[in-house]
Amino acid sequence: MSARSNRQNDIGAQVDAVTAQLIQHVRDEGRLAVVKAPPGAGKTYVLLKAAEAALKTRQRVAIATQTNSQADDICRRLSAMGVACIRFVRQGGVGPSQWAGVQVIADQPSLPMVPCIVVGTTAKWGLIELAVAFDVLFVEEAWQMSWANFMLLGQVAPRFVLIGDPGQIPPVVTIDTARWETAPRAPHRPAPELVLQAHPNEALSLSLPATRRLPACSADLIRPFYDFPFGTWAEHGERALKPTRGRAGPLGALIGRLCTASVAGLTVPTPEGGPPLECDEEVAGIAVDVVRALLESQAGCLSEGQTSPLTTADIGLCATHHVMNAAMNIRLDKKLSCVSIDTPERWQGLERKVMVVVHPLSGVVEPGAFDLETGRLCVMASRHQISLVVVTRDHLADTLDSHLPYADQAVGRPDVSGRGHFQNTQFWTTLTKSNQVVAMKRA
Amino acid sequence: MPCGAALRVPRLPDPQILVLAFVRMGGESSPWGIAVGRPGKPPQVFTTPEPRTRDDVAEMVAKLAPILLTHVHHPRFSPFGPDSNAAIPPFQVWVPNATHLEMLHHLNYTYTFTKYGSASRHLLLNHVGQACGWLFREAQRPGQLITLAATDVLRDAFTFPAESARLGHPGFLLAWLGAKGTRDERMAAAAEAERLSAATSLDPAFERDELEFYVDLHNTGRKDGKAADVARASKMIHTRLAEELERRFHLVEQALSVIGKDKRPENRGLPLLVQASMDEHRRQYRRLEQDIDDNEDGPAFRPSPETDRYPSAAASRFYVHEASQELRDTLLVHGDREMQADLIVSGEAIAGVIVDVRGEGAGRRTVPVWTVESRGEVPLRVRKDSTLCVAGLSSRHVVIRSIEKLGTGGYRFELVVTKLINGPRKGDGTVLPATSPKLKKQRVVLVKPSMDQIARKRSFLVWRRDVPGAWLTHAVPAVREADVPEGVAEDLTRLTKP
Repeated sequence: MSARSNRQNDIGAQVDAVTAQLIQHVRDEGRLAVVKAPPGAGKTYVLLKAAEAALKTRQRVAIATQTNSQADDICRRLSAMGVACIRFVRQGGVGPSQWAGVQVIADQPSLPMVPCIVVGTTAKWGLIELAVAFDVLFVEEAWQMSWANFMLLGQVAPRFVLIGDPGQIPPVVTIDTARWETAPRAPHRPAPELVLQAHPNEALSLSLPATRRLPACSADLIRPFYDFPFGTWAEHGERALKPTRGRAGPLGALIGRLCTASVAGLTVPTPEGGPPLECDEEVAGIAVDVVRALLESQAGCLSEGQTSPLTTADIGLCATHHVMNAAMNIRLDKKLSCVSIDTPERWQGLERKVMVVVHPLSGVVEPGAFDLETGRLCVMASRHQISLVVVTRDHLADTLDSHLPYADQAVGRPDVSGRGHFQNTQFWTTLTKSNQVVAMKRA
Repeated sequence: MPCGAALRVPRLPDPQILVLAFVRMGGESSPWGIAVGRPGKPPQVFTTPEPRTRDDVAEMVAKLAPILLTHVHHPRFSPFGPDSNAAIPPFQVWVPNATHLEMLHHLNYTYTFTKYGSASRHLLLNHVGQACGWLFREAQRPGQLITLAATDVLRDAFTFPAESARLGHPGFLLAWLGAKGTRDERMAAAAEAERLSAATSLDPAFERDELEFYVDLHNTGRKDGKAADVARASKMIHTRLAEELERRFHLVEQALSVIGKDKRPENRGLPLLVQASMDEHRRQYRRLEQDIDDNEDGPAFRPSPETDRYPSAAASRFYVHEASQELRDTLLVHGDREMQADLIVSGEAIAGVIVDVRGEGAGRRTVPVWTVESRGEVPLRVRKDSTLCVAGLSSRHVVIRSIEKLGTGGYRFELVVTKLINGPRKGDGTVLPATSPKLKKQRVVLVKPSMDQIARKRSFLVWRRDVPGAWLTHAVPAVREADVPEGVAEDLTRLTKP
């Protein structure tokens, strides 16, 4: 048996052990479990296995997701497992009734009183008034759920299993939350953070051992964003891009870097007067040029010992601002119409073989707390299975080097800006030191 | 340059407006002087010679109490009395800028729970503390129209070519608007106006040169029992501070005048926002002052100046703020074409022409479907299945069935009309049914509809504690055992009673 097989078997055994622990906890009617997972570690699989086990012990199971597409995806996967479920939708909602064993219900009184699995969004569960509670509630992508939203789920069940990725984007909040920064239960903070803080001993705290999605060097880059260790399914060199056509210039050099490591950076010279303020058309154009160059290289994607051709549908583009995404979208001609473009918030839960992303701090010469928050960078750097290209203006290293973050957080709250500055610096320094950054020259 | 096609603040009659301005001694938090009054009339000025003497400041604030509490309709001071159904007319409290709002917060901290002084005075000060606390909290609620900083109102109504730090000075903004001449001349006038302090802090040089001597004279005189020195010093300090306070007061008056004379109409969504503000006043101020529990808005308690320690209170207010933001953002856009244009440019709204109107289904089940084509390469943040409403006709909702990119750079949208299909029942006929062929070739702007009622409902639901998961979701953190002395924060024991 090869070393790879041994390692993967070992990881598989660890995942099985975590799953078994969670299943036992659910069967034993434990009140609270929190499962942390790195990106692409199979957390939904663990959730579904535990939910299935709960159903088998004749429990009524509720599953709360953060988006409708996540709920639909869970129903699809339960259907594939041969487990019947109910998709609880909004009034007038259609839901995914096309999959075998998936029933769609909009009215709360129509929910069965017998053992079942009901899947709905946190928003849906939070707005109804249940006559009879479920036995257990599973929350998918729990770190994306605010404490305020979690409070509304108290009526769903007396027992909770929270599963999610703590390194990703915190709950989206559009209002000023200054009044609640020092509240013991700040309504805008991720629910699992407060749960673990309030019940450190009572909660069964588990973490998944490895990321299946990310290659080893990508995992090395994002590991500092997490407070628990994790390994990788694929080790160094096991996944790579294998171009069949050479290319000169910086884009050729960039593709060359991706043959040996999974992440490469591309810096674009910053104009004399500073980078453009809102939409950086030049960077948008270069990001699309990278996509075009990758396809023109007729690269193969090496993974698990096999090589498959890279197609447009395998590539994703991502920038933090809508205007940048729009600028990139405009540059995609018909041949590239299958390339997906979106913000990091929308990319959560999705993956592609190759991602081309615009660094969140590209063009930002005076970063604030929002810019330094690493959730977006973490999402952008963890959507790929084979390769990641990070495009940025070349002021990035200097900006991080000269920036002194303010510790303007409320008393008792963590220094998010300082930590973000450190993690951003570490991310870029690691990439630079490993000679994975290609610099474009001024025209 | 005017910002927006309509004003985003209602112009109330002067008797419904109270202007407040403060000054404080360098290094101190407490007020040194207060100017209060109606616009167009000389303000009443209260000062204390020594703001480091707690009792003197309390006496000064007690003088403010009847004026402030009458204006904010405290149940004991309002001409409407404690009647919770009274139709209290809208009112506003204006301050020069954000530093004066912070002074309201300071008064909230100092007096909400004070037991210092005689019973009659400390109860009065408690009321002032609560009123200031509510005004300060309300100032943080998006879309509120009661606690207004002149600088915020001006920035909302005009665009100023200056960095954000300078936009906090009302004199700077007013000089930009009022000065005549070239851009450079106006800039010079604004810079000149900026040299005079408008914040609660005084110019340090002024404080040193004009006041320090008299403060020393006052303190020495008091210590040595020299009543004449005390009186002279007090008078001089009052005179100097009054000049400063009146200047700040007049800046607010000028801001009110600029807004009052503006030729733009008021946004037609404002009456609803005013109503929302008055509802908040009834629920979060008058109700709490009368100690009345509310099924929807929670039990009565005196909110802590610092934060909401009780989880349901924190979550409920969080949702109220979310609902308020949603309401403001989605309401005002219907009455302001410039706001619509901003949303179109950012991709959050669609502007296009209805190129086809057809009905799907038959008879009473006919579902109107519009095809709308937009032009130009703008970003698009709406997606398939998004719900939008017609700008200017907010109750007509459409759901995006498909989006197709056109070769010309725009988009083609197929939209299913889901609400207000036939037009208003008691309409004047100007609103066509959604199936009318006359809608063809009409230009339409589609914006996000308001979902504020969802967040509102959540703000009520989150108070429910009799739920099976309450042991986790509604458990009150052990702050009763924490270092919060009795009487300086909200009463959690009361809130947790069954």
